[in-house]
Amino acid sequence: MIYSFYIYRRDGVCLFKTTYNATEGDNGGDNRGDNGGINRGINGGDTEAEDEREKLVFGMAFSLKELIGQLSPMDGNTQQQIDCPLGTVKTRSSTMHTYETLTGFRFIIYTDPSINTMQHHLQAIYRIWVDKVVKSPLVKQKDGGYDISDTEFEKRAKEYLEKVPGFRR
Amino acid sequence: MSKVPLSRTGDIVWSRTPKTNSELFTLTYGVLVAQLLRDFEKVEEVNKELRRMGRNIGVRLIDEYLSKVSLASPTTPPCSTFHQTGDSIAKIGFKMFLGISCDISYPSPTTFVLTVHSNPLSTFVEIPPSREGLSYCEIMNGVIEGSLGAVSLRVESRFRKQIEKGDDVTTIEVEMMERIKDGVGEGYKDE
Repeated sequence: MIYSFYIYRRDGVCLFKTTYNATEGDNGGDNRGDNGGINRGINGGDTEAEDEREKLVFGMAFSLKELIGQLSPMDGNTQQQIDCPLGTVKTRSSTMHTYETLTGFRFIIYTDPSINTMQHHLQAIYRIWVDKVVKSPLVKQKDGGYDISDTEFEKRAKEYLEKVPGFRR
Repeated sequence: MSKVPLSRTGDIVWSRTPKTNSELFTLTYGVLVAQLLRDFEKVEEVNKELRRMGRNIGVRLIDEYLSKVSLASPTTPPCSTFHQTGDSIAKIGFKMFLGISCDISYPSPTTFVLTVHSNPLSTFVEIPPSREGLSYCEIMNGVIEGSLGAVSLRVESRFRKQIEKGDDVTTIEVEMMERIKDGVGEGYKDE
């Protein structure tokens, strides 16, 4: 099951976030038990918790990448560290799938742990992003990010994700 | 890992790209430059404006480039040296956006030179002596700087030769100035 979906730009500003599969009037209380708190606030919790969560997700992706970057082996030929983008972080309660483009956009999806890989789906969403946001002359750029409020992106991304096996439990 | 030649990737992406009539493209660009000349009057200002427009285009083009190339050739790893970056621009980038491929040479580890034999932007173009200082295709320098800037490479791009000024080829020299470090923005300080 897909819980939530975020897009960040290079410096961590969140360009887009949404949650899926939230039930009406659910404040996340039901999920707290077996999800160990990871799902807290996700289903319509207050905005402050949402903002906090948004930062935590990016912070985790960013710091993990830094950490892994320092641990990764050297390439024998170029004497540079092998580039190793962060892919999936799996826990018992949920899985974080990330895809970082060279241009610094991070696409992050939270799912339940039964979904093993979302990489090609994330790439497909990147293509929707390019099509509907980057290539649209109507979308104004504001210091390195895009204002996507007036595009079809959200609709198209939702349509795409709904077809992904395991979108709902 | 099996390595697909870059020119092959360029051909695949080009074949999937929607095309426009090249004369329409050339003339539209000509009209744009002519209008800028009318608006700004000074050629130096026009050059600057073209470069600025190019940067804004480049920042967006790079995303289209990355998403299409990763689809056409999923096994290609990201460029690890600046010369590989140059190869990708010459064999894939130019092919995919302008329909031409260009030759490349490497005078130093931080520089590459692209040689364009026929430039679709400057077909039909003659620069009158009164506008001698005009760098007609300046937008290309902007595109290269903008697109590489978006992938953390600050470069300087400049023309060495220009067909429209009577040279037999157009050559673009691209020099790497620095690699921009990743960092988090304002909202993450003190946390």
